[in-house]
Amino acid sequence: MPTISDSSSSSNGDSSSSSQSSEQQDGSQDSNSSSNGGQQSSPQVSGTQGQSPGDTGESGDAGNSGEQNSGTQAGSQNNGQQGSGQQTAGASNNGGFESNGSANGSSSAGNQGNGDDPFGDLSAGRGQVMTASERRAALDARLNEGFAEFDGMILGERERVQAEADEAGSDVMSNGGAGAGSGDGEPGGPLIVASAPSGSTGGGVMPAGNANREGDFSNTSPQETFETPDDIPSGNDDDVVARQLREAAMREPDPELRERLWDEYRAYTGLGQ
Amino acid sequence: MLRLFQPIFLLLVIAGVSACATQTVKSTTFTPIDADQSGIVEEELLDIGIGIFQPGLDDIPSNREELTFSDVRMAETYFASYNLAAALQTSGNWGVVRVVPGDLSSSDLAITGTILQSDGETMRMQVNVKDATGATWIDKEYEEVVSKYSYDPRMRRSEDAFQGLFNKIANDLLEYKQRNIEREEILNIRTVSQIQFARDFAPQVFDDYLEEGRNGRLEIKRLPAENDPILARIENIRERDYLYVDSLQDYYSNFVRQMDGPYTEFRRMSYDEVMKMDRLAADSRRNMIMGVAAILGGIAATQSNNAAAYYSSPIILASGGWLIKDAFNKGDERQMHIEALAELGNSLEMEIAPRTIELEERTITLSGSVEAQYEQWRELLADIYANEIGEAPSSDL
Repeated sequence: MPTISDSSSSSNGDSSSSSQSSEQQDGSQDSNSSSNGGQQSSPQVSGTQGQSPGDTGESGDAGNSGEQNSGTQAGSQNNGQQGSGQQTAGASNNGGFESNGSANGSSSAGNQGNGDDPFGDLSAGRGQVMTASERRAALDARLNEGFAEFDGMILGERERVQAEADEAGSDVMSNGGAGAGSGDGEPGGPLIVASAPSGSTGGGVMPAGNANREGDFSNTSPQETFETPDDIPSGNDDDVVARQLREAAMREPDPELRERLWDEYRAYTGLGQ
Repeated sequence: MLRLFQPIFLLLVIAGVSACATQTVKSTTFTPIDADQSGIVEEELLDIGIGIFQPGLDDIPSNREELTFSDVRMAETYFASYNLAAALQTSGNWGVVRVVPGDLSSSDLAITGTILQSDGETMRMQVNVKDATGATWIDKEYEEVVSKYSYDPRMRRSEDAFQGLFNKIANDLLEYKQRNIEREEILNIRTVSQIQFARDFAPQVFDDYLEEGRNGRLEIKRLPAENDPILARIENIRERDYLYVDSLQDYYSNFVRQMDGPYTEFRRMSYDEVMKMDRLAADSRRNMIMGVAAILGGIAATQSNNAAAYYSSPIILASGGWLIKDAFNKGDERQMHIEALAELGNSLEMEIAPRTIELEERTITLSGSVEAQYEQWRELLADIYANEIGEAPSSDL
């Protein structure tokens, strides 16, 4: 953005709404605790909350504030998103989330998928009061979870399409047009693969033409890679989808998203089984 | 009486003959695409979204209805949109050029179009280009007529036979930009499209950042802060949106690749049939006119006092009858070509229609999944914003 405005939508309400949130927690607690049973799966976001009288055995979760707990939060959120119809993500996307515990999926799916209760499962089972910053962190975590799942879905879909294209053969494509200067076009392959999230490896074929257009294809530039977790094998026998997931995870700077991508990888390659 | 008919007869003959003399010059060469030699910096590159062209099935002239196959035309909408994207992308004059099935409002430039005619010989389309502010850059009808050699495998290059038409559009777009759009306006357009996208995801935040001016164009009322956290989140979403749209390009790329061979063959054969049909139609029309004129002339001659005219009248009448009969014969022959063309079209439709349906279903499925995800993000952004300003979330708790 070229200029700075007088207004920003951000951060003027951190200290507010404690009473509202208290009511919110109570309401959501009831619904979730009843449906989730032991609340094993409810994302526990607040690290400072007290226990509500009706809760059982949750004291050890107090340190989860603002963090994604892949073993619990993912279970509720992603099942909720699956309920919205992302079956096209393919097996690679579903597997990683289904393994997080199906027992709680249906209840939290109702909250997340329908958008009825955005904070319900964040504070489920506690009756605890979240601060505004804690809420923001929790909502951001949800957003990031959605990003990770979305990336996995799109990457899987693109790999599937690419595999189909490879099967169909690539010798009949004439996508070039009369290129200025080159004139021969660029046969084969997807024409437009321009932009991708920082954590993805969507590829980048720069079309013939203006060499100054690096901004649109910067995703091909060298990126920092991160170490693979100990339980991840060398990946020499990975197929294209697994390789994409691996590369995406290795290049993802956000540790939470990285871990989600590794979960995707584990699920896809069957490591988690 | 003969004197009365003689001028009419002559005029009709001249009209018929002159109709035969009309020629159209065609060529296998096509308009090359222009590149901006000035060197465009990255921040001045405008991204382009191209909507799937409209098939224009409601606007087909009655004499062309039998040459138009709806399933083929539907496939052509993807083919044409994709090839235009290819031409624009190849030019290097623009940012990312994408074929987008849905809303184009958050594109820097939005191209929409309707295919008016496509029969192997001629392609005509109406093209409209608007920028994010709503200003119209181009609203024009384009036409390209190709030679039959455009389909000759020995002459055919890797480009589509109608590549010249797409190149013309690309060149017009560049010319308009070079003549009318200053750097500041380019940056303004990019900012508007960015806010449009942000407004779609967080209307409660960005609704009043844009307003419609008196000229109907969107104007920036205020700008978000560079470090606006909501905007930063939306930028993350926009990157995902790019990735999603790139996935659609894979769909279209595969589709175009698969249809290219049979479609080009269809157009090559269609070209021959269309040429023969047009020629037969012209011959039939001419012979009908001349036949009627000859009969009228022959009838007039029977009334003539001139012996030569009188005795030649049976010949004139016979000639007229023969011309009319030949006109009907040519009409029948034309009908045979129509049926041959229908067979070709039906054959291609059978091959291409399932692929088109598959493409549409895939697009709808992926778009549905993406839109569901977007809706969740919109709700999360709304809650984040409510949290930021200390309001209760919009949802019931």
